[in-house]
Amino acid sequence: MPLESRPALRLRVAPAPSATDADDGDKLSPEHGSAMADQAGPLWFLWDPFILYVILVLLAPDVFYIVSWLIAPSRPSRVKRMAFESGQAPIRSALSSFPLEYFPYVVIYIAYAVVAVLVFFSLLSVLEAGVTPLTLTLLAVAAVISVYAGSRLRVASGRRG
Amino acid sequence: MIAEQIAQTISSMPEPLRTLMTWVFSEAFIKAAVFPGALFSTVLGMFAVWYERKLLARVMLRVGPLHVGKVSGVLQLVADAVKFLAKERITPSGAIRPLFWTMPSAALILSLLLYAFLPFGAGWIIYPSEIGLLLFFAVLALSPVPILLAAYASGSKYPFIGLVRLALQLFGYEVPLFLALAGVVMMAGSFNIERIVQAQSVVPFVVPQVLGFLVFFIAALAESERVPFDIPTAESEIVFGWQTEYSGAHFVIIQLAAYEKTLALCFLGALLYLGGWHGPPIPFLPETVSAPFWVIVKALILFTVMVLIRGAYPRFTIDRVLDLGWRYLIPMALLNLLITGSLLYATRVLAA
Repeated sequence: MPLESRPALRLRVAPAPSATDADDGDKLSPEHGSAMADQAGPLWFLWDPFILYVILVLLAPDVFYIVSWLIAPSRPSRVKRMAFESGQAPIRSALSSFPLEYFPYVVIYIAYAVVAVLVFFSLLSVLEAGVTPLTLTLLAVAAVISVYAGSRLRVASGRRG
Repeated sequence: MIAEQIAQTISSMPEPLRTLMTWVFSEAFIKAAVFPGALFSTVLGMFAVWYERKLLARVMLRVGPLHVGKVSGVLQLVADAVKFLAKERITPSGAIRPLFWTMPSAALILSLLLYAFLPFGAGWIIYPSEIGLLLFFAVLALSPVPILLAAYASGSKYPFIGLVRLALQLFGYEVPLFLALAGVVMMAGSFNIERIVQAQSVVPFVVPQVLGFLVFFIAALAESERVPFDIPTAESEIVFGWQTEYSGAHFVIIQLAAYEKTLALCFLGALLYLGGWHGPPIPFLPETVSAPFWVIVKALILFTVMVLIRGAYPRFTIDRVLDLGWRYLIPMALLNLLITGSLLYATRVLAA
């Protein structure tokens, strides 16, 4: 597969490094994929640091398993295979229903995850157009509401109520 | 000089060997396999275990590993690893086998992948990208998933309790972590970690973003499940939480994955807040060597603080952990964003 035809997954939010940047000692790594362009061949992926690293990382756990397979014993028994339950024989399935007292926190954190999305998009706008009074107002509203909620709201569960 | 000699020796070799040696000395192989890549990250993970044991022992007025290996028990790690690898891997009878066996590997793979997006100096990066910080965060956000599946697949009650705690803690603390990182991105004006480090050449971001750094550090502690946020594996309450049923090689892989993730977060903190590779120049050392040196020193300082916190503090209860997240960290992170935005706006208005 020729390198040029591979789709480049790039989302530019900042302007590309230009030649003038490089002149002021502003050294940036070239965008991924440019270094190995001259090494195209059947094994081109071995010349790409990222793909090579992913291959090595995929192999890393296997090293442990191979060593373990070579030197570890394997004599399973019924007692060994029991789920750990402080020395007792396990009673019923582990995947039973169980009262979750901290459910309100789930709702709170989901609400804040939406705020995080808002912050992400305001970040993108800041990177594109700089800080505007509108972004500042949005951030101020989010900050004030979160401070107010954090100091005044009570969560009606958990030990401290 | 040495590089020229190596190049000459390689070019005088016969063909298959020459290509092989060119590959071994190529940028791709050195980056992926040696320096910011596989060898460095795994050796560093093992060093961190030894360092933590020695430092924690000092905090508790003990000595720590001493006998295996000539200097301060450095080979204790190797002994431990061999011991664990030589133990039987037991699969509980209630476990979902395929998930139970593969999820520790998935956790280690995701933790190691984080290092692909961390620059250790100008050019010392495996995957240079304009959205490096987002990619790092994406992999970090995926990293609890294999752990949750591992806990679910164990088919045992203690891992199941650990699963619920872990889900609440890790998914909760990703929000403040992201909000803290947003402050850095706004100030540097880029998602590229190299650009963020370059923006700190005068003042490291820890100075204008004290609040953001505090939030980042506490959220990083919680993300890496370290004391005082180790409730998912609280060994005095729920045996060993989600890791209870894992033994032998599985256990080594899970522990290594946890240390790699912790260290990756320390490196991220050093790069985003402590000025990265900006430091006093070291005599007789070229910049390609001194830059990674400063990054590693700064990251190890952060790691030392984490270990000292582990030595000094007891474990939080789950309701306190969750309260701390949304009552203090998220408002602090949003205030930090507001302050950063105001500073940027003020400088822009004053400059105009």
